[in-house]
Amino acid sequence: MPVSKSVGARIKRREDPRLIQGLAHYVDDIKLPNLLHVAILRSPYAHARINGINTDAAQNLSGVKSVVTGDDVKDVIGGIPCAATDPEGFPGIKVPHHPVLATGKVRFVGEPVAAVAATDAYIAQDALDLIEVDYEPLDAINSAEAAFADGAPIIHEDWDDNMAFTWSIAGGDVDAAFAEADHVVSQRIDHQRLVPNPMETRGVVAQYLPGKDQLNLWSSTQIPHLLRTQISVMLSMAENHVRVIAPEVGGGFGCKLNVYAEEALLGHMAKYLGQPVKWIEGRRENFLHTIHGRDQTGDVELAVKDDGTILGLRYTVSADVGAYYQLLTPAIPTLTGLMLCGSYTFKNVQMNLKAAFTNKMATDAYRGAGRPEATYLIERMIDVVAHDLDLDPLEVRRKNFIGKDAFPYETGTAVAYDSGDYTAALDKALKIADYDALREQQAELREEGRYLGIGFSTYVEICGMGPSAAMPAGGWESSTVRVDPTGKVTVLTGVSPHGQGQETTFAQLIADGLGVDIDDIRIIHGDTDTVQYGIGTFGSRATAVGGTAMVHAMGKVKDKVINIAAHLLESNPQDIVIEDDKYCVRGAPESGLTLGEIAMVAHVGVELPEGTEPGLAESHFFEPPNFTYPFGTHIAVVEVDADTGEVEIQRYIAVDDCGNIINPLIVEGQVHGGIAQGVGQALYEEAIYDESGQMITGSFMDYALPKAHNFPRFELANTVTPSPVNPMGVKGVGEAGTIGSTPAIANAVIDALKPFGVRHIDLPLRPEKLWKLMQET
Amino acid sequence: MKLSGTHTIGATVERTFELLIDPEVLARCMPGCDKLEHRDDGVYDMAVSAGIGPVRGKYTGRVTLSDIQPPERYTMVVDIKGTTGFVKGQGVVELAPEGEHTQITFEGDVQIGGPIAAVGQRMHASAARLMTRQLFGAIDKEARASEG
Amino acid sequence: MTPFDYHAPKTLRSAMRLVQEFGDDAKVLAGGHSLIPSMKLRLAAPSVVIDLGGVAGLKRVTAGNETITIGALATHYAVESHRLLPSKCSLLPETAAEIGDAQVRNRGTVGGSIAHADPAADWPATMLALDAQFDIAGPDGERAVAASDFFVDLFITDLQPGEVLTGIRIATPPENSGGAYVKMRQSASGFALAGVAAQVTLDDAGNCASVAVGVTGVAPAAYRAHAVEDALVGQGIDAVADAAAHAADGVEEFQEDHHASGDYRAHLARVFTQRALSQAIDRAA
Repeated sequence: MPVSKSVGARIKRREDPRLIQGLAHYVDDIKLPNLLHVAILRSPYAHARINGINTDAAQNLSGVKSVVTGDDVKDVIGGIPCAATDPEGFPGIKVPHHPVLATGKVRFVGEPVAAVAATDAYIAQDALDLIEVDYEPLDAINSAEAAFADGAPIIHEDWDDNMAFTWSIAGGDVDAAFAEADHVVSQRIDHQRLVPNPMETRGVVAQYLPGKDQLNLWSSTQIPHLLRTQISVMLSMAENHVRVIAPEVGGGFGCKLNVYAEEALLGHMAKYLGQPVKWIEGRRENFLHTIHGRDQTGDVELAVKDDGTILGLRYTVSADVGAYYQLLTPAIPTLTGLMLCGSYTFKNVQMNLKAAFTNKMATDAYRGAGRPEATYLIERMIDVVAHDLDLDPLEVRRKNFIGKDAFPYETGTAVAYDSGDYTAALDKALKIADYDALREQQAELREEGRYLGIGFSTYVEICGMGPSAAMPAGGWESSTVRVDPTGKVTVLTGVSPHGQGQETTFAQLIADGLGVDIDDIRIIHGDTDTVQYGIGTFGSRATAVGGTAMVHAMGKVKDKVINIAAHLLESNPQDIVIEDDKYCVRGAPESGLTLGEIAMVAHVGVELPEGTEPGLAESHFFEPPNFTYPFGTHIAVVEVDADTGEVEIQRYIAVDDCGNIINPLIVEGQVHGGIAQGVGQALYEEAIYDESGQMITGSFMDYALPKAHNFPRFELANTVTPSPVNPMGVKGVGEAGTIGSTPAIANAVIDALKPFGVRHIDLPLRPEKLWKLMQET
Repeated sequence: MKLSGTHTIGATVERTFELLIDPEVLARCMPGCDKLEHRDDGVYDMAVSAGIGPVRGKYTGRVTLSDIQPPERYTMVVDIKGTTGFVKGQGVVELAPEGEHTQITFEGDVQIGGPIAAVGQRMHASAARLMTRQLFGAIDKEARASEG
Repeated sequence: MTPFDYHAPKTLRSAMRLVQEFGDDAKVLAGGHSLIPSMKLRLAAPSVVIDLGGVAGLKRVTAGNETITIGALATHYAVESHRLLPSKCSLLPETAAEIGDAQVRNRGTVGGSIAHADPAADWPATMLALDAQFDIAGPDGERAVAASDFFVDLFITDLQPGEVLTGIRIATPPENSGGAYVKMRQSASGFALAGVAAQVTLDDAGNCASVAVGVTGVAPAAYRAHAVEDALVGQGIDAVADAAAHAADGVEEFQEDHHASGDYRAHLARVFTQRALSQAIDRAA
């Protein structure tokens, strides 16, 4: 797409002034008269029977309005939904009832047991201490391995084992590939459990208007429309009497792509108490009861020829999905399956997944959602192949790359990569890195007993989710573009940005498309009473799918504007052009009309061409024909301190190809944050539950997020391979950094320790782990 | 969490054993003990105000002694809870003569749950060891005072 | 929340009266970086909070030719940014700069950190290496205790019920002295997995006339690494590596958690002792 006035320009985010001045309105900023505050009593046990709950003392505390338990709500609030339970996709899937408040049994630490509504948040919290729950502790399960062990305690007693579901995918002829191989390279790969940790925790405000039988629900969510549908079902209300508003949302990373107990519970409490209620999640609650990511352990085998050509891959994996399903829990590992072939040509592939119920919080979509697992394992395995066969990891990559002329390319897992040029991105990154010099430096430093490592990740990922046929709840998106009589443009979009910057990038598209100042454009999202319908923001889809819907709606508006302009200028529509933000007859700019002048005519309705409807608003629902497949090369240069095992990232080079770029500044911001989050997985982050099922990394004192001082200045560049999937040629960039960076760092650290004979190390790469490996040699 | 250690008490094995199962002595020696009452065979009701640094909570529950083989060993089960969480532990305490003195060896397993489990994880092992150090230190004092 | 009485005395005398009146029920509040988080998390619920923040005269930092004084309520930042300390005793501002982040350093106090005695806090190591004297006010008047007698055990100090730490005194290091504080941060909290403060004075031959090493993060309480000091006195920089090997000698119990085992912490104590001593000697020369 050509760079015009706005599109392609480094425009600062229009959202930021309000965010950095404290002028944004988050859920906790919603103040309503007679607001009650809700606190949730959570299970301190990972697995226990509830033999009784006594709420008398809490009820009697001054200021307490109501205490509710599982028994109070089990007949009036439906179960927490999961949208991915089709037994055809997941043979033998067990779908346990997932109550908003536990009844009979608790199954993980942090599971909601009771809720208190009180006149202030402190009283509500105090009242929790007065609720007496008679727990009978049971043995707990803290891993998939333990869940599948003989004699393991049963988490859901409707069944006689803890197998949650199975899933498999196969392409090509895997057995033949392994029969033909010169080598079988195997490695167990672990993807540790992670906590998404958005800056703003979750929060809900609910208000019921009895005269209208209307429920207003403010929630810090990525999916206001899907949430409304689900809440209406859970509370047995008509969907058009439920209004969900996602106000300013302080980050999500996938953890707010969900429907949680508190959302339905507060909706119910507002209705039966007749007073609005608010619940703001504390950070400790967030650690315990907002979805986690990853938690798969599997064995990978690659069938390889002597020259490094990969013939096939087998992945046998167990996923620890926690005690219940959240919205998309079973679907996440399926995305791993789709992307197992990475950037490489082999088509013989097989993945067999077993998922276990354990006494932990549910896993679900966390930035990358299934793709980081695939990318980490294939990019890590490429380096293991290079190690075992004594080949250069770069040569193994080049040998197996899908060539740029092969697109669209159907993989062994039957997805069709839209476009790509993997070699171009790799070459560009190598040039920035000055690769040969780096290898020389590495050799020199090794002589001095210093350990530099260079790691690659030549990733491809799946974005722009997605065609509806491949999605659990629709993959299209919608938009309305409206020109007000004064020429100001209002856009309604079904996506729900919470940090991605679409108030800026969408406005850039409109500014160029309609010939209007960017300051005259408003992007509205996140309110189900305002926006027609939408799916939401996740899976790097907002611009590729939501932006496309908007561009189509804008096209319809523009056609109408041009028709009116032609009529007013007594010309033909095909002769109307936009010059200097004026619609004019080609070659006669002096008589041009502004969008505002034309909009006024459209609204007054007198001077319209015959047969033209008055007004100036158009909608479009866009169904993408395919996913998009961004790719790139990340190179990490690290040094491991021989004395302590500490890892210092010295350089980080990322060449990403996300198709056409609307705003380079925002793309860079997404890549920066993405890299940091992926590095978090590589070096620092791990959610640990002990043997009794207690989460021992439940605060920022023990759960390590990456910090600014952990990073060098990133060296970023792009290649541009437009996507044919949408008219803008964009692919999406929300998750690329996270997906690309974890293996780059892991490969760099393991490369640094090559002199010690190290072949593979599980994440996170803590200093002690590395130090010990260096001692063993 | 595994917990083990050894302590020397300045008294004979027999005397040390008596001290270790005497509720009054234990109530005096256990850090923060507000109450320790013998309820029935080997079962004691307990209330403690325990904590380290500024973190402090009141806990109630019971201590059960079983498999009592004077003066050599017994098994102890602790099960207490409070608003900041719960502590469940079980372990074996063994006594062996060391000249005129007694060496106590204990080995056990401790589970900590609830709010205190999720924060301050780095302190759990040291706090548990500190408390056992304080307990056996006090018993040692008690033993030496009563002997001399 | 659990209600508590809040007192904000204006003088040390009235503060002491309150401390004695409420005894164990009271908690003394300085910068609020240990007590307030515990209260917020409902892991502490004192019935009385005595806020020393308004007590006059406890915030000053002075750096004279003979003595450096730090009021118990001086913030970490006050030490970090003091005009004269970089030349008089660089170990102090260097340690301060390693604590938390700018916001923490602007609120947290040196005295609060010392009295709290977190086993992984930074100040105890430096106070040990500088042979600091702690001034303590109590029911029977004032007393002073050396840092080496102060840090007793996990969160346990020599402070007795009814006593309050009021200030820190350090003998200004002589010419030819140098100090260094280095630590390995726990990746989540930034607290020391191992932190080592070293202060040395060199003789005319460039050998160590005096050496003091304080180690934090490794044992239940910060400690002086006497074995290291003994091995290095009278020796020069060439002896540092051998001396540092004794940094964890005599430690009976190591801190350990999922971030670092006891063995690793002992190793880190040795590595960072070597680094701290090398830097300190370099700076002294």
